[in-house]
Amino acid sequence: MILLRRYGTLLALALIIVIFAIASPHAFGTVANLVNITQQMALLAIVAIGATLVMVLGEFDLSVSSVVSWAGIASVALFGTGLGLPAVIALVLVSSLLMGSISGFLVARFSVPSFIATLAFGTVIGGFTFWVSNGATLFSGIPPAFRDLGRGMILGIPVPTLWLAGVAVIFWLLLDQTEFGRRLYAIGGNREAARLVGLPVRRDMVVAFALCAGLSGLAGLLLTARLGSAHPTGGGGYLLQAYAAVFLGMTAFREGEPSIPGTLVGAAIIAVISNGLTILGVPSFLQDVMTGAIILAAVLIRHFGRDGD
Amino acid sequence: MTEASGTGPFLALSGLIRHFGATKALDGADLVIEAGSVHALVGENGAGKSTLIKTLSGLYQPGGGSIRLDGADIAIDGPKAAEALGFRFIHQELNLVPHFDAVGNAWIGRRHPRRGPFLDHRAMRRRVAEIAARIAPDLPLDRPAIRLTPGQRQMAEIVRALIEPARLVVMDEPTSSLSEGEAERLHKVVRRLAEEGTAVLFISHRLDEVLELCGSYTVLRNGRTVGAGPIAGIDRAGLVALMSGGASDHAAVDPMRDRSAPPAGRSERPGALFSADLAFGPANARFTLEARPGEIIGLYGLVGSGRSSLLKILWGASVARGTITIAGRKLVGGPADRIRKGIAYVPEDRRREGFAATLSIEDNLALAHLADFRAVAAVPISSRGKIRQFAAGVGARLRLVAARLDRSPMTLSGGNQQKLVFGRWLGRTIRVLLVDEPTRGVDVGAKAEIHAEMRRIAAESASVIMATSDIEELLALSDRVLVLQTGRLIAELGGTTLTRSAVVAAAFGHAPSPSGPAVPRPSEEFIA
Amino acid sequence: MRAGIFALALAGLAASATAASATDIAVLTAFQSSVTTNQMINVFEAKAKEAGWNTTVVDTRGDMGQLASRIEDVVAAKTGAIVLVSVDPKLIQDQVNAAAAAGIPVIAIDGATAPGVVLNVTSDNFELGTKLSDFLFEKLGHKGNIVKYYYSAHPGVHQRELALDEALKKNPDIKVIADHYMVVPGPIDDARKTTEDLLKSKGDEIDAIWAAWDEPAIGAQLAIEADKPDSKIIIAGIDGNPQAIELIKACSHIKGTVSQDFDAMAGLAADGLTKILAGTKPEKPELYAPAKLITPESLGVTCP
Repeated sequence: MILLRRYGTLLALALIIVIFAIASPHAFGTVANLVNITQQMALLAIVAIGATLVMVLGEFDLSVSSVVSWAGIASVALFGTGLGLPAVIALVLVSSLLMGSISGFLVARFSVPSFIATLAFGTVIGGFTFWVSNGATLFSGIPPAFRDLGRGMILGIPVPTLWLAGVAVIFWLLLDQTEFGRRLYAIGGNREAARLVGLPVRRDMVVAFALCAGLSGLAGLLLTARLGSAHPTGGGGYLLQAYAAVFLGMTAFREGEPSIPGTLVGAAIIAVISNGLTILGVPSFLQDVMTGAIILAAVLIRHFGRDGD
Repeated sequence: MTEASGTGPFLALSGLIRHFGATKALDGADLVIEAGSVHALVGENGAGKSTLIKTLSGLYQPGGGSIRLDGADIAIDGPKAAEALGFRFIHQELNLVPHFDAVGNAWIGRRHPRRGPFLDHRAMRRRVAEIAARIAPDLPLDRPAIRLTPGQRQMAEIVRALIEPARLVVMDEPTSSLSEGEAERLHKVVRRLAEEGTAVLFISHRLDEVLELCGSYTVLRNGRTVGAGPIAGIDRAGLVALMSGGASDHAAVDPMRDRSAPPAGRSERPGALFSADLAFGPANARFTLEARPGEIIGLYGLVGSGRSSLLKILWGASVARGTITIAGRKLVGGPADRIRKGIAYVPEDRRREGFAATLSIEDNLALAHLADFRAVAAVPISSRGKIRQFAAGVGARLRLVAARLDRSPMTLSGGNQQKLVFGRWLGRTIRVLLVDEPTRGVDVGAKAEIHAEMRRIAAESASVIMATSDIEELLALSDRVLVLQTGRLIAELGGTTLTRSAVVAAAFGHAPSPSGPAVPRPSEEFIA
Repeated sequence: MRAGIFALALAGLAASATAASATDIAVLTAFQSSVTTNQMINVFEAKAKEAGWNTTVVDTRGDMGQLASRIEDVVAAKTGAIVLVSVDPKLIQDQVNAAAAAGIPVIAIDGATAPGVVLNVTSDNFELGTKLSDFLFEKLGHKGNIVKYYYSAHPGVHQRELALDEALKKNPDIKVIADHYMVVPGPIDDARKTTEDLLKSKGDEIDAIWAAWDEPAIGAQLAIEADKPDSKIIIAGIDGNPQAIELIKACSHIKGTVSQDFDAMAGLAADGLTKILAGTKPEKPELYAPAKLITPESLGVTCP
């Protein structure tokens, strides 16, 4: 029972996979499909890892989806001006980091509640994105080399999966194994204490928001590479799912704090449910009901589990 | 751990000044600490101890005076600078990150041991374990702070303080939330630190503890140092006299005190007897209280004594075991029920608990009993006219200085905000008035008016129960004073025994034996 | 405990979903909230039922990334055929290619032709746009100011916009004095708000509203009805949306809609798919459903 409470979310993921595999051994339960799921969850997980950084601080960044859309549109628009691949990627990532720094600065320096600051700034980014794209889906002029960044396989592993693996390892090390990561957790745990011991609270917050937006930018680039097109609201679906992944992840381990491994578990649950239910032919509205119910169940059980700790 | 060179003191603060507006938090405070000594810093609430510590930790910059370390003038311009000097602070409200364990907490804000760019968790733990082995061998190093006991949290803070060489450890009321056993442990650790050459500045309200543990003392009053020296040269009474001001142990009769109505006659007035028989606070000891109509009871005690919690319990806003009755009828339910029974409450933190800044002054006045302002009794729609009329009446009675009553209470001065919180109860009969810090941050004029109002309410046959840390106010208004310590009743003072020094002596007294002092009333059966 | 909840729920779903042995058809769209897309899906589902197929409808609410993932899923599930509704297959070309490579036929309704797509059943959107523009300009006497409500993200709707541009070239006295890129989902409300604002700023200048499909037209009608009921502004859209037809009958400001025959489109798609599943390739990669103009006159109503 204690084990269930502590690692219930992980067990649930395993169980969901097993059940789907039994229900659909030839479609879901194949190695190819499981590998495919890692590719499908990759972009969501990258955005969610960014959100995790901000959640560690006890803040929210609601502009992640706007930055994803922005990065997609901006990259195609920049290819249109004839810039080379490295220049486009660098410009898009730098612009994303900058957007995050602005949100972070508003929150850290002026104590604007992050919910409001990022909602408002995200709307600004969204407007900017529409302006650049004229509202249209952009798809001309994308070089094939760019498309290869988001599709295909290397050694049998889908490229988006490799991106996710790299991002997850780097940010897991950053959050768990460096002073910067410790500081973020300390600020999130007790901001006053962090200030009293002289931590650079504001600077760290700005960096965390910037990294969050940077990862959203990266996800936007990869999404565009995967689809070969960019839609001005292409990132819209990521906001809620990313935070759902972080919240699910918080229930996955004992500490109940946002963490990179937890977020990966959360993103995997969401991706597996979508994939499995589609393969089983369950209509999409029912998928939403299931996903929402699972998040609620995980959080509630966590809450009741606390009493026994 | 370096010994101070020569024979001069290790740390000397002299003539420190720090003003906040008109308030002189520090007004020429001196403090001299020898290396390896345990030095006590004592004083009443508001004597300037916290400000002094915050100056040492670099959070405040002094407006005057000097800080000399090892004989050289220094400036401390921030927490980092204080840390670099080897100063460590264990604040009253503990500053641990709740989900970090002792190891994680110990390294916050410090240069972590590393291997390449990554943390060396093993080295981190090893260093913490070394220190814990010396200080607190049974401290669980892997448990999140949130699941440690208060005593363990103190130990975790001390371990944290010693991760890097410390020259001075400042402890602000470290034993206020600890059990006797935990406090003993802490004392041992403090002695140990001193033996190792680390100076300890120990702030405590428990004078017995101070006399037993510390080697020297400094007493602050009104931001000034009024006495200092070796503990061997002073006793309890001496410390109390220094803290309360003047060696006089006679009751200084306050000129503001209303002696016209002798308390003896008050119990015969019409009104309702209010009584409580409770157990609450960390001590969870039995506490009984009886308030007679027309009587003003003062609650006094140091920070953490449970004055405010007691009022909140009486108000039904927090729960405790026991019973509360008015006119012999048991009170059940929360504040709404209390309001119906004629009880009123004025909270301590008026901005946070007293009013809604988003509503107008008149709406705030009407808030607690909106049903009285209905245009038609059966329809829950307020009549603006009735509210206006009520607000204007209250404003006149309290001499509320407001540009317009339909503006936000944030447009009022502190004194007038306080009057507003009082005023909302004036529309109906008050049988019991519970007041927490009636005049904190209020100017002299408004203070007198609020005092007059409280006397008037009492004169209209209400019992008034007032918690205050302002001893002048306590003496000026109270017929009777109950002194509390961690939820225990330490002393009841009234009539001729109600003197300034008696109150201070009681409040600073050592925690009594678990059985408590003789409760001066026959005990009834206790309902758990 | 938690695991138990999942187990029960999933086992139930799994049981219900795996029982079928008929041909599985995956119907995928990103725009099911649109009335006409929904109508096509409904008609197609009805036809599929007659044919004995098992359909699953997946809607990703405007999210193309999700749509790509869901296509990968149904390809993994080796579905019998993929039907894309109101989606340009070119925007998810990789996934369409993967489906084709797996031998799964892909057809589009109201979409576009693309490599790997066996059949696209649609209206000629350029033709629809031309019909709408000509009708509106005729009504205005080839002179006046119009407002344009458009949505370039949808390939078909974008064609109508191009047709308008073409028509505007031939009618130099028609001026577009305002345009608005529609918010989807929620175009009716968006059009209503936009129209309200435009009525305030340019109410007296507007002669007509050109709506790329009927939902913006309905929103515009709602705004005019509320804020400026006596104005002479006329509105026209495309689709033959039932609500728009009602409004035309009721002599509202909507004076015309170019009807796409969605039922026919879905029917043609189902017929086409039957042949494809039987192994015959359709003669043409694109089939057009007929279009007709609906006006008060064609509905037999006389308006004042």
